[in-house]
Amino acid sequence: MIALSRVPLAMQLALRVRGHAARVRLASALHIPAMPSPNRWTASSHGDLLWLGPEEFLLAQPGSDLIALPTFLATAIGPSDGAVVDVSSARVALDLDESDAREVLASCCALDLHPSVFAEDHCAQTLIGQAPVVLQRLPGPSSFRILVRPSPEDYVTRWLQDAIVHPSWRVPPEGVE
Amino acid sequence: MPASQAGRRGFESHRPLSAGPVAPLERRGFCLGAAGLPLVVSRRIFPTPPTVAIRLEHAEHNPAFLWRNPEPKPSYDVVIVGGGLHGLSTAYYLARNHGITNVAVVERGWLGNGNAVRNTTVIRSNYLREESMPLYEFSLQLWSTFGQELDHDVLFDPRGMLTLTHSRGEAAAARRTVYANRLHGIDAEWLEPAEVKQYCPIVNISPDVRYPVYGASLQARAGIARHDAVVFGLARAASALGVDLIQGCEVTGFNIVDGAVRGVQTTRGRIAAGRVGLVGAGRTTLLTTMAGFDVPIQSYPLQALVSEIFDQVLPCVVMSGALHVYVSQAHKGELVMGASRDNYLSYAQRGSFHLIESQIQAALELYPIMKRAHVLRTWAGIVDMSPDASPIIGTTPVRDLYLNCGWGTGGFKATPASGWVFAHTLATGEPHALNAPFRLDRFETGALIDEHGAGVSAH
Amino acid sequence: MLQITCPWCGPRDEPEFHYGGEGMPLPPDSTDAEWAAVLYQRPNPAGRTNERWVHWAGCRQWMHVVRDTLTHDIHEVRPVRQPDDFGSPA
Repeated sequence: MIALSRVPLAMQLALRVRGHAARVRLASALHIPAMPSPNRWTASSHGDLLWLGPEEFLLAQPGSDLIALPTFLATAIGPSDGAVVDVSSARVALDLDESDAREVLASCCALDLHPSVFAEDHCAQTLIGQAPVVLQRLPGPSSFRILVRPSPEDYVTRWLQDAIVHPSWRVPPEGVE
Repeated sequence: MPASQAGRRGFESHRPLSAGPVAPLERRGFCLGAAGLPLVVSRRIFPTPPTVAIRLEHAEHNPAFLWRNPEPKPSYDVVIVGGGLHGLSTAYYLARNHGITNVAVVERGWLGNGNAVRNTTVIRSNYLREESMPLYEFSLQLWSTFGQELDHDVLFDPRGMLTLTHSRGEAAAARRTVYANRLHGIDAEWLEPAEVKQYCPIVNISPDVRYPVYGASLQARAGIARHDAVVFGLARAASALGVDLIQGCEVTGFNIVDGAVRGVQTTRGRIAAGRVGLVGAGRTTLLTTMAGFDVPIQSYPLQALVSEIFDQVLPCVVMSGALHVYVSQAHKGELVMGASRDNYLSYAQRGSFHLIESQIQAALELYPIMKRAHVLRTWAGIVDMSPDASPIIGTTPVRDLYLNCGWGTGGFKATPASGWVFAHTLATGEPHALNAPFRLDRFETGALIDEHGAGVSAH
Repeated sequence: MLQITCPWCGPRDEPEFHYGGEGMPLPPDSTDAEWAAVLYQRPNPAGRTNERWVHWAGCRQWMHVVRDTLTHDIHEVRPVRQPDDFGSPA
């Protein structure tokens, strides 16, 4: 059984950070050795930190007690080396857990999601159908998180549910029409 | 396809020719719709075709080859570069209207190789600007007798064309075009969604779709023709009138003396010419670069596709600007669909598949009946896009060198008129009244002819 | 469909990108002809062309692309902004 579930995220922050020194300060504040490389994510003390662009990261925080977090991170970045923007309502998170999750995604996403190419610390901004998403490989044999803007959420959900219900990738057993 | 096969007559006439000689617009009694506006027709600019037809005495009806395949002569009065439909049409009308028969059409490939047979054959005249309407309307009038004119059935079929609208803004813009058309004596009607359904029953007018139909403009005299037959008919007629159609002959340079062109260099040798006409479509800028001047043209792929053959289900041409799709059904039964153009420069005659996918999505929403149809074949032509989506026809900075290009995504419909006015320009050295506004220097003067809204192909 | 190797994200399909065409410098003077050239005259090469594309559905970065308009081959992609110390691209 493939599970597609909507996961509540208490807070999402868009982090813009310029320059090596500011990135080191930010990584230190998040208790990670370094900011993630392109198309990688890492678990930090304050949630999952995803690379979105050369100077752009997304902090997706499932926890609580977050009132002070934006100010704390903005202080770490410094006044002229970037910005912290609360984008908590910009995206919703859909988790896809099951051994066939990769095949379900293959019906609507052009990326090669085989574990040898898209490993557990990988993330990517790409398209599901025609909807832009952030795709995050979660720990486990075949689990993915899809961060999608609220208005195409229904579109993406229908794509995935259709692929789950009509698994066109499954080769029928021998002798079965 | 080698020239020997291209020249073979590929079909027999399936139906009688559709119309007699062109009646002046005033005598046609168009249905102008419920508004019943009085029709004011400006005759000042529509030329009257000559009444004396030139007999094609040398043209047999079922010859092994439809046109001669001559060696190039050392010299011609006029050399036309480009053997597409507009080049052939220009050569034909040079001979027919102006008695200039010492003419060569040089074509780097073979006749019927490029956009001539890569288009979706839609013919209409419901453009918006007062410069465009007379030109396209004149072309539509020539189409109605083109088969008789060429003594070769081109299957012109004025089955009507709907331009669907999907928003209030689009509907208002379409109505504006309807009124502009009527003011210029061009038939146009506005249909409400229920009338659209009546006119074309397979259109889905349900309000529950992503892009519901808000109504459509109708040009009842619009239609389609068979593009191959137009190539065959024009080539045969031009050849019979004495024009040399020289295939496999690519222009590699121009002989320009004291600012005037005196001939072309080709892969088959030098050819001297009194005047040269460039009708190079997507390869125009390669020619003008050799001639030493710039034209604001860029070349993009435009894709189309056909389904397998079906019973006739689509009684007219249907375009949808918002959805970037236009569909008609060929006489043989294929559904013929055009798409938006690809977004990158190309000379490769192929485009990207995701455009076909979105085109099919649009078509399925508009015509649920097509959901079991299969795509049989897709292809792309290279279209010459001008900045204002209107053609450039006229003189160039080089004396005796004339230019006809920039038809972009919509040149097929203009084949007869384009040839007519460009032949006039080449014969007299002056633009015809119909192509005078379409000059190259309009991009400096600012007198643009913006027809970006006239087509659906991301003009 | 083109496949463009983004300097940041690796090979991605064309729908993730927008075409930026070729750039054009403003002329120092401004006669009508020069302005017409700036506004309307664009290169239209048959062969290699220097283009800009933006990876809108990915890292949202602009990149220079050397592409052949006759074959659709992509010979070179390089970031408008060098990766320097942002980490190594994919």
